[in-house]
Amino acid sequence: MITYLTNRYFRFLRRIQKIVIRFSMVYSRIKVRSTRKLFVKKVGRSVMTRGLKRTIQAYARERFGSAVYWPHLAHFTEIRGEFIKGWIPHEYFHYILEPRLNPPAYNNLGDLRTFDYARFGDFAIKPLFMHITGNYYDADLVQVAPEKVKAFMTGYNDTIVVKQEFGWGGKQVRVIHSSEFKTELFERGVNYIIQPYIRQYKPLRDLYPHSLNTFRVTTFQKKDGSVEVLFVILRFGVDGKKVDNLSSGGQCIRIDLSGKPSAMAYDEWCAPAGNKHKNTGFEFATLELPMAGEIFGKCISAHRKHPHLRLIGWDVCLTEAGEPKLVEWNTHWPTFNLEDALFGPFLTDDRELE
Amino acid sequence: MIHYLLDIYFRLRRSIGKVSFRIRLVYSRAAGHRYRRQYLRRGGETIIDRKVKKEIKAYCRERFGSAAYWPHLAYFTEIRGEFIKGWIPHDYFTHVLEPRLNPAAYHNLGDMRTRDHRRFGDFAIEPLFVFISGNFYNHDCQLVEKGEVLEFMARYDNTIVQKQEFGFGGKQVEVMHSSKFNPDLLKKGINYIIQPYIKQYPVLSELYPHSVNTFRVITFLRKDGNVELKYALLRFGVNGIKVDNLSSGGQCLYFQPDGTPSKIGYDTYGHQVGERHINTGYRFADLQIPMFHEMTEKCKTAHQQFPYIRLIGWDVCINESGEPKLIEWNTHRPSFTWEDALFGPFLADDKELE
Repeated sequence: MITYLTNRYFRFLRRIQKIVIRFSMVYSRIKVRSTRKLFVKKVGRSVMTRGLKRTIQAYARERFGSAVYWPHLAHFTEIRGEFIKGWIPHEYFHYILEPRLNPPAYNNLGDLRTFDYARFGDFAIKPLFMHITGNYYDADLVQVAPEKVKAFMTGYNDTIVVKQEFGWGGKQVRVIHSSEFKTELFERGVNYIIQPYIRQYKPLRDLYPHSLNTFRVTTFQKKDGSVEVLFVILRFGVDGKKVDNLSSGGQCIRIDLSGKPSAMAYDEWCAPAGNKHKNTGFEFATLELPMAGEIFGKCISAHRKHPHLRLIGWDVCLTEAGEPKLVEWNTHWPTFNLEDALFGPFLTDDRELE
Repeated sequence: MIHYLLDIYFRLRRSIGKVSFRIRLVYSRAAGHRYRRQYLRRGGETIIDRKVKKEIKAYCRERFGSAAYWPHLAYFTEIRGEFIKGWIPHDYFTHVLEPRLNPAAYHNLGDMRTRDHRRFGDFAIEPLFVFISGNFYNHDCQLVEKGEVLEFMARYDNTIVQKQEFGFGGKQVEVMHSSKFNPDLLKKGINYIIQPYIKQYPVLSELYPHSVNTFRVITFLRKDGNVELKYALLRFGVNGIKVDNLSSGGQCLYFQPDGTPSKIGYDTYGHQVGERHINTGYRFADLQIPMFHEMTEKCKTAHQQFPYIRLIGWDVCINESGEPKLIEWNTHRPSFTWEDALFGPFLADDKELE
């Protein structure tokens, strides 16, 4: 009886989930139409024509099984100024492709931030402490008495970063002075990681000093098990913002695989934002990153240790000494589509996506 | 609109979840009554009278907030021969306490078996290969060509164990000769671990030779961060079965923390099954496991590396040379039912369970 009811319950839930996914996909398509209109208004030009729409619909029908996927591709076309076969529409990526590449059973691996140092060693920022299940631990997961933590913080006299496990998009992150640290900052039942504040590489500070400017390196594991870098962007804050995330109003430039930056920056709309930083006047093309190969190599090595996931977004910063340090890794819905539109297509071979 | 619908969806899910939770509790209590009847039908004498029942209900009301939790405790009382305050009823443990001790965000850690050797080093069985995302890897997560795997298997000429990741209760485990290994039979979208077959410690073979007889060691992370041993059981097969799992018909012995085995064996319901193995005639009290302490210490050390989870069930075998080897670790619903009744109470202090 209970098995029957449980089965019915799960079938019912699955059915509702399917409906919700359908709704979400439809909503995503409706929403992107207004986003596209706003984009066109912002840049003052449109490249979409009837003929182009038909071409896009034919491509969507052929590759994704339905022409209804066209709106996101039309948005990509406006962003790029032309339509390019090979793009993956946002809703297809989000609801169909990504769950296949990064199965739900594994996609929270990247959210376990208190475990990153144990996983990646020196590539990760060595935490000062971690607060797990109500106790303090050092970087090697050896328990530390609260009095020792308190004494350390008093003597440390520097800025620290307190992050919640499972935090998202730069939220649930506090940057405070160590003297302000107290256990009351912690919510019950939530784990935290306490890190030193990273003073970044001078050219990145010159680019924009108020945020920690990070690279998003997206790596892809091919079917044969080899790992490659799909694309790299460098994100930075603008207008006094303390974070670099695009979703929080930051901007980005592309870094090619030889480490050369793009001359042009892009804002959160993917609209061109000039070739100099709007506040500091830093000319993007002059940014030199001699450690670019090292950054990519470290991300590839780290991905190789996690073959359960095929698409990972690595957020990497550079310390004052120019050493790449992993800030976090994104194993669930790593950003893909706008980068695909601007600099791709990156996933054109369907055989690789099976 | 979509937010409104999503809101309704999540509210509906929560409501259904609550109803389902209630149904499960009711069902679990009905099972408690059934187990008790089964026990009495097997010749056990009831010791539950009105007074004891009233006492149990008062205890439930006081500790768990409702007298409705009494049926499992009545069953516990029957098999123990007396009522002892401090027990946790099975329904409360499964649906209320365990999700609090082992939060859902972390409780699938133990199911990722392909990572166990990297996590626990030599305490885990070194896999011959792991099969992840369609590729073979060695124990160091280095890619291995399919041809090399086949070549190895032909040369290995020995028994191997092929396990599915996320398998449960000994299911999805295949024991075969290496020459029979066929990579094309591995299911798409599922990860596997391929291990050498463990030849067990001679006395465990004498106890019952047809299954690998494993210890289930339950460790608990206290609020102060220390890990303690709660109890250990040795499970073994009977009547020709190839597995030792209680749910598959196996039986077990309880071990005192000093490594002394109980004189009596027990079945999956906690019913006594005599002083000797039903098939081999091995007298349980004669069993000597000199490495018992080493095994429990290894489990405690391993638990300290995962302070996210407070209650873990470690399945450990002893190899031919007497070395404890981890088979798997259970971070979601480790067994905790009649063990508490017969040998507990193990979780009597509510301050430890907050």
